[in-house]
Amino acid sequence: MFSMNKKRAAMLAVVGVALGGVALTPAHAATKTLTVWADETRGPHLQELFGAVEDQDAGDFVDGYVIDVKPQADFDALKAALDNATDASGPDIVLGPNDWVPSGVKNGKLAALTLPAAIKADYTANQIGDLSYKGKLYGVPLDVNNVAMVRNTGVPKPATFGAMVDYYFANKDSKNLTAGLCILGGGTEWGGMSVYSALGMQPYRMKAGKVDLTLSKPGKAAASGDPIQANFVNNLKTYVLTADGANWKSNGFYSPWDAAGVKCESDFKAGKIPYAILGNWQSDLVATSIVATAQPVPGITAGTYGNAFGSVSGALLTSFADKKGNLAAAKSLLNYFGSRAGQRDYQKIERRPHANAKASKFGNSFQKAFANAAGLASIPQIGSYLDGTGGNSWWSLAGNYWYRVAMNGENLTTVTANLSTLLKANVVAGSK
Amino acid sequence: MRIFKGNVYAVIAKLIFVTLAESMLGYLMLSAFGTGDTNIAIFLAVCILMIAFAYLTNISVPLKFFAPGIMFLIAFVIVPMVFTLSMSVFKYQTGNMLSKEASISTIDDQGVVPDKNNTAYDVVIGYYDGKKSNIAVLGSIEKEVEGAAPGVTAKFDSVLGYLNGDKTNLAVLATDTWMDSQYAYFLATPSSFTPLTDADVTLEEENYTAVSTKDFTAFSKAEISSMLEDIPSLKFKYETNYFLKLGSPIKGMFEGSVNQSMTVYNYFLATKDEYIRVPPVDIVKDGSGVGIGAKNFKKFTSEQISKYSNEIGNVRLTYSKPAPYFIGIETLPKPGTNFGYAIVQIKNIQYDKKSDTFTNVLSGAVYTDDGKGNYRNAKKPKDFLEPGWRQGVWFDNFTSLFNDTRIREPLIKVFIWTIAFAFLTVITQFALGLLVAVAMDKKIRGRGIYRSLMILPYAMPSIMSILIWGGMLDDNGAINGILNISVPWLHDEWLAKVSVLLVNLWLGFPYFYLIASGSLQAIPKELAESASIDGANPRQIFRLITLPLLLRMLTPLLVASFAFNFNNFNIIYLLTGGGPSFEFGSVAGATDILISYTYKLAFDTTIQNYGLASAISVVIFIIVASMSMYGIRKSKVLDDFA
Repeated sequence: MFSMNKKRAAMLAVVGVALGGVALTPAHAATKTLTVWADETRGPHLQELFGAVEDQDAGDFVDGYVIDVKPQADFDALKAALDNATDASGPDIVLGPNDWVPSGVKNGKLAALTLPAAIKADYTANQIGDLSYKGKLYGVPLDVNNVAMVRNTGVPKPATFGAMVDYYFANKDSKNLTAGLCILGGGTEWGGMSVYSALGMQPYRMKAGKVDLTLSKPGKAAASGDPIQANFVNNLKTYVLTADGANWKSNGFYSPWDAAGVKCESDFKAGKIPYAILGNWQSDLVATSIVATAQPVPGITAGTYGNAFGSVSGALLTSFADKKGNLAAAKSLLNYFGSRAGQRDYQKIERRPHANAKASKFGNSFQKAFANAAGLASIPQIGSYLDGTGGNSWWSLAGNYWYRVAMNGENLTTVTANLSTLLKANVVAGSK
Repeated sequence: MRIFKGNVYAVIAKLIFVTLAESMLGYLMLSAFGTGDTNIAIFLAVCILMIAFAYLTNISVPLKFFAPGIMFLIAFVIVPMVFTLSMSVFKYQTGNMLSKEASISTIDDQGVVPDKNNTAYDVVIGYYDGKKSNIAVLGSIEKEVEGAAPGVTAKFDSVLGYLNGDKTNLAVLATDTWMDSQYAYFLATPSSFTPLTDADVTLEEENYTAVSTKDFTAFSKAEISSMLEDIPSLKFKYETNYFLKLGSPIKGMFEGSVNQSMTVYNYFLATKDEYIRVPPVDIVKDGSGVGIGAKNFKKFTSEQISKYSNEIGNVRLTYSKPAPYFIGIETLPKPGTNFGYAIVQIKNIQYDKKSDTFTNVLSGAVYTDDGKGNYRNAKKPKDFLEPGWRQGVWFDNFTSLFNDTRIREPLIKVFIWTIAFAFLTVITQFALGLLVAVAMDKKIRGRGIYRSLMILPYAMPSIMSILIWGGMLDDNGAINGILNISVPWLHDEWLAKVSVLLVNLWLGFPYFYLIASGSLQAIPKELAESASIDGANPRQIFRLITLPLLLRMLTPLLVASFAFNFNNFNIIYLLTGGGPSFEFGSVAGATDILISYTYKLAFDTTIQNYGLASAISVVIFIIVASMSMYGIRKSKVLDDFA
């Protein structure tokens, strides 16, 4: 049995330890901190750029501030973290793609900024537009997101899509080719969009820097803004499909995903696939000499190309910056990100094509090759036209379409007509 | 105090346990308060009190056992249920995520636009009149002026003409007749300057003035007369930073003089209360004439910039034009420089708390609460302000399940398949499990090994099994590869359903095998022996005696299994992802069950609709709860329990 004094002492001990636990709560540091969230590749690169928090002198980049970069496990984790962020836990700046802007604004996660004219002048109107919503800018372009087509060693430069198909069939047996064109980066929906586009289909068409809203009506000839051009089905039949009874199936040239006997990466590296779509984040995947062949997917006629998505990722200003009293400081860091020096410093580590055209001269051959491809043929990635409603998003339609017509043997005309209806609906919905 | 009664080690262990638990909860509570999660913090505070009450007093012994369970029940069952139920009657989707207060605050914060000229200044940030709270900026307004270049006295006799026969391609051919410049002759256009030599020009004999050169044609007197109004504004390139302007013509010849563009500055101080034009004499300038200091103005040091960065970022300084114009400080000074960046803005969206409306002061549009979670322009219903807020909409989400064809049609298909999937799963798993149990009920050689093997699928983590099956059933998977066939197991509507049922059968039959085995053991052997004596054959014994008794015992478990499979998210999401889609582009797929469809609606589409997903969850809950209650009542388990 304990005596009363001992009991009191024990009670005091309980209270004391509990208070000790309370005292363990992290104290606010004296130096002010700007918090930047990024994905698993950009995050560590930014940490390399800014240095560890404890090694920074407050004011290296923004007066009185250190920069704390918090990499997230992956891209989806980053998005989920942003969606769940609170005023206290959220970052001041998040590095994300342009299509996060509309939902970020709608959900009150992003805040607008105004770039100094000198910095803004280094970007194209499309790039600024990519990170804008309803006329306001929400971030600074960092890098161009795009893919380009590369060709294997010894494969001649194709002038047209048909030339690639001809090369494939002419060498299929002698060189033991498993496919003609495959996708190394970006998947069927994103990377493969340039192949669809070369053949006459893309989610929307651009006119004078804006989405062309001129759509045909049923029974009328195709209008300039129709996502599917009149010759698309014929091009599919001519170049990538072969008759299979009443329907059609893949002729083996285009392999948007690994299939029986086709492994894109290993087959391309082994010289068994002549052409591949490469993402601009895959600088180490193929040899430098192959990267140098980067070009857009050639179109049906010489001198034309399939458009790839060529949007920018940006450093986005969050509304949390204001809530935490870091608004001006966060904008100051964004100005650094947008400046030529900032882009040069960051892309030296990140090694993606610079969004800042003036800074791109500092890039390596990989960055320049992809920047060149983007310059030749690209369309901005505009979420409001791509995401659709009720599941009709480009992201769910693109791969599904190929599966249905080329692999599942469904009626080409019917499925294409359905696709046309859905894509047009997306264009109409996106314009509202 | 009897709390310290008992074995000394037990008391110490209890104190350690309680102390650790209280400390950890206290830490979490303060963190929750720190991050603004007040509700969680309050809940944790209640838990702390509850633990103290339960374990440091002797008021209720049962509470010592129930307390952890009660806390977890509240945190992980009751709160999510209440939250789901409450969200089902809210418009809670992308664009309507915030509270109304937060929405108003965000709209108000973001309701500014730059002025139409995008007026911006590099400014020195500091404070006025010695009060650090009186944040001010010192700006220098740059202005280009033209005038005679100081120190340059050269004058040129100039002939105005054009090049290459193009009268829009203006040029002057100039001669230094006073010999006070380094150029005897030159040809100047608005963008080029070309020194010439004697050999390049033809001179007028009287004054030795150049009158023609290659590709240059002089304007006639008549042409010059028609241009007289424009000539004073013409500028021709001279040396870097200088240009030539023409005076009045005399006998077709102009006197050209060297001019220079110069930058001059006007200075201003902007505080929260006033906009002050500061005379140059009161300004401290840098080498290029830009103001870096002024009377009564003190520049913030780096430390002060950091200290007051919040105030600096949000201050609205007076502009030369009245409100709603103001000057906002956009960025802090770059490290090592004097200048931040400020822009002239207009507070165009303004909130009136009394009438609960926003007004766009530029367009005059008035935005009122539309009752659906947005401020909307009544005159243009498509014009609304973002972000919106979570708005109670009563049963709109539920009625949309029936009224909105985009939701209703896939939902009906999904609902039918959910029932079919759960029913077929239970039937097939029970049938196979029972079959194996009956087979294993006989004494056969190696029965122990067989039993162990039968339990393996159940012992393996189901997620791993499902993913392995997914790989094997893929178009390029092992099954098609080994059999050398090309069957779209997961991409054909019906085959995908069969695949899901088969994989679920693999995962679930061991469970029924185990419980059926146990139940078979519990049925008295005498019953079968009696029936056998009475002439019943084994099939009749199984059908008329064993099976009814088994069903009587297992009905609660069958009902529970049905309810579990009704919500068996893992098998669907990991094996087929709910696909293939019913129709080209639809969210719902052929193998989607209600819970996977709900998940897609809430998280897997760009427009996340938590309100609708919550409504479907409530419907699922009602269905499953009803079935469970029915099953339990039917089997009279509760009566027995009572």
